[in-house]
Amino acid sequence: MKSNKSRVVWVRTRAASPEGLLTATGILRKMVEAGLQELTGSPDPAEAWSRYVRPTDMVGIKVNCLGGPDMCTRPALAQATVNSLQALPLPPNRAVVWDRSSRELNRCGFSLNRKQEGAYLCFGTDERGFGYEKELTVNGSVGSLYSTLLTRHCTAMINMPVLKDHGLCGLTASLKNIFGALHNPNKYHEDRCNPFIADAYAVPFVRKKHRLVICDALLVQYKGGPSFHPQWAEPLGSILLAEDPVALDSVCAGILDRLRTQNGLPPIEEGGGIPAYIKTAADSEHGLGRYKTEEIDLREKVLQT
Amino acid sequence: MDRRDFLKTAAGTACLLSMSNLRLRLEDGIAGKASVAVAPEWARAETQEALHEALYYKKLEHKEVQCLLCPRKCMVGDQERGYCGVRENRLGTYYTLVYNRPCTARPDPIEKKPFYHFHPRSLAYSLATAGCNMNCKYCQNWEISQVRPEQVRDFLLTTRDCARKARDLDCVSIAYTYTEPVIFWEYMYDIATEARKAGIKNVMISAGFVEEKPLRDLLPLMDAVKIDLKAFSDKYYREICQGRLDPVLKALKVIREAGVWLEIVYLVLPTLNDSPDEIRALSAWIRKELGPDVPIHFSRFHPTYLMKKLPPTPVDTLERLKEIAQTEGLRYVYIGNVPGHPGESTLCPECGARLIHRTGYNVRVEALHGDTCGQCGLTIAGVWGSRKKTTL
Repeated sequence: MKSNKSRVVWVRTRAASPEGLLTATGILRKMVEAGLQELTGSPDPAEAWSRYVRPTDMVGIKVNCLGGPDMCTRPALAQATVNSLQALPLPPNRAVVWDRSSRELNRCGFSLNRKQEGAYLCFGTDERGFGYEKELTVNGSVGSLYSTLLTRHCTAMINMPVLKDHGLCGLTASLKNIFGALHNPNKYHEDRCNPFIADAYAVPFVRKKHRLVICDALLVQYKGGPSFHPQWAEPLGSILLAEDPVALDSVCAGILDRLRTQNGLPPIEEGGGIPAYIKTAADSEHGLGRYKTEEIDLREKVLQT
Repeated sequence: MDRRDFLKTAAGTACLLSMSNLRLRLEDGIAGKASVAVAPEWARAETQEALHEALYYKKLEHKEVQCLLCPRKCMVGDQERGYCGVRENRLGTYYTLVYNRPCTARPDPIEKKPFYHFHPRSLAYSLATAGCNMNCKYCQNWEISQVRPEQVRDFLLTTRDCARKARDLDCVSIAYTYTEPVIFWEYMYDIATEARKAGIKNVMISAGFVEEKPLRDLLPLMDAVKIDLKAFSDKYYREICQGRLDPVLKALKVIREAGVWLEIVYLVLPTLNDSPDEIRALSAWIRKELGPDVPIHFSRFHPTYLMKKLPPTPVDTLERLKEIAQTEGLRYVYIGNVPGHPGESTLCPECGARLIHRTGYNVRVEALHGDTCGQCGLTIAGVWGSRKKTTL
């Protein structure tokens, strides 16, 4: 029976310093697997992954590199996820870590890889032979060309955003990460990105391929985002996992507000609450998930070692 | 007739127009349509990146900037771009990414812009870069206007080479066109300066969604401006074009005050901006604020981009709107994008003599002698200098 609550797992660790954790692939893998266990109820990573991915899938891991090397999805988290997926078994080169451009991936420390065996693939939509679709996908307020990496080459998507404040829409986490798959995200930042983000995520092929969100909250930009400002970056040492991107973003909004309150700042939304685009994503027209606290089963997990 | 009725009755027409060969012919003849295609991002090497510091912006705290070029006044964080997609903040400095990097440049008949009262039968060296500060749902050039610079097949063309090329190709003017030249303001300004030195004229084809200061700074270099007035309703601007009406009306007045030759194009979308009341109000506004001699072109819409389900504008709608505008006192009212229609030609508003006969881009000067009507002697508003033949 389908649960009437969306589960979100918030995993933290005391096994490494906040700085050390950013590159600690082994610990991050344990965090991913602990999160998966909490999410699925299965202690076996292979079985847990099998809920989301088949060994024959081409798994696209959509990271976020816009904020540069200091405020991006950490390469170590992507690597940890790929390593864990091998339990399925999914060969490393059946996973492609991608964002809009190879240059941005490279700048953030990802090793570009078009075909080398034994390692995950990694390149941007701008890579030769890929690019954007030639035909527009139209949905509500959005009319865009989507990355062919998403539309044609990947059969499953793991959404791997980084949690950041966003001056124009409140926050950027899983839902807004889809903007990195569009050719024209600059057209969708007015009106607090609402309903653009929800419309962009609600297209059929995104719904179909979306499997899981693993959100990088190792270092969180709680003000001044989406670009990096060290004075407002909190080493939270966390990752969050969920099937429901709306629920995960709703939890992230709460995390940002808590960090902002601790630092004497107002909430991300004037007067508090959840950004409008997240609510829109949850409405009956979009049906992407649940945002209300009472509809979210938030589980916190702290790894001691 | 409401929108639903219109769609029903026009369905047959739409079916006919979907015949691909006919459609291709129609698109070839649509004024202002560029002949380019989207290129993959790899088409442009990173080493060729065209960084040039932008004008009209202010630096804010924490490496943020605010663009002051157009009424959006985008607040742009580090590593982010404005709405236009071609201006980027890098560590608190705002850059244009399209300086010296057009995606199309070619000679066109001036009538394609369209200008009907400016050097008829002359050639305009027409160029554009990627990007636009609006997003009209019917944009015929969306493949270059609604993309980022790295998504088009652009090429290097310096400001000096552009002026030289225009002169070598026997072009009377350089036209900044196809996309929205406001977003490549720095490039346009520097080309226009070079063009002036070379004795070449400058014409801008714009939606007029621009701040007053950059517009006023640019106008001394412009010989003519065509404004695409999208509608006479702010609601339409917001819903169909992601823009606003007031700044455009303001820009029209500024252009007119500056004494730069002005023509207006009004693309007529069935049921959306074609009500007689709207056209009556628009015409009255033009007559009062800009004067009756500003030509207006009521152009036919063809389904494209995000508006593929709306049928083309019926020709009789265009004829009706022309009549309304003339009744309101406008003296030069044209019908556009209907090749061969008599409404393409220029008639003397006094005696009705045919001054210039147009069929598409075939243009024949008839009763116009210099700048006067050969039949009644009325001075015809316009800039009538060149008689160079279009040879394409």
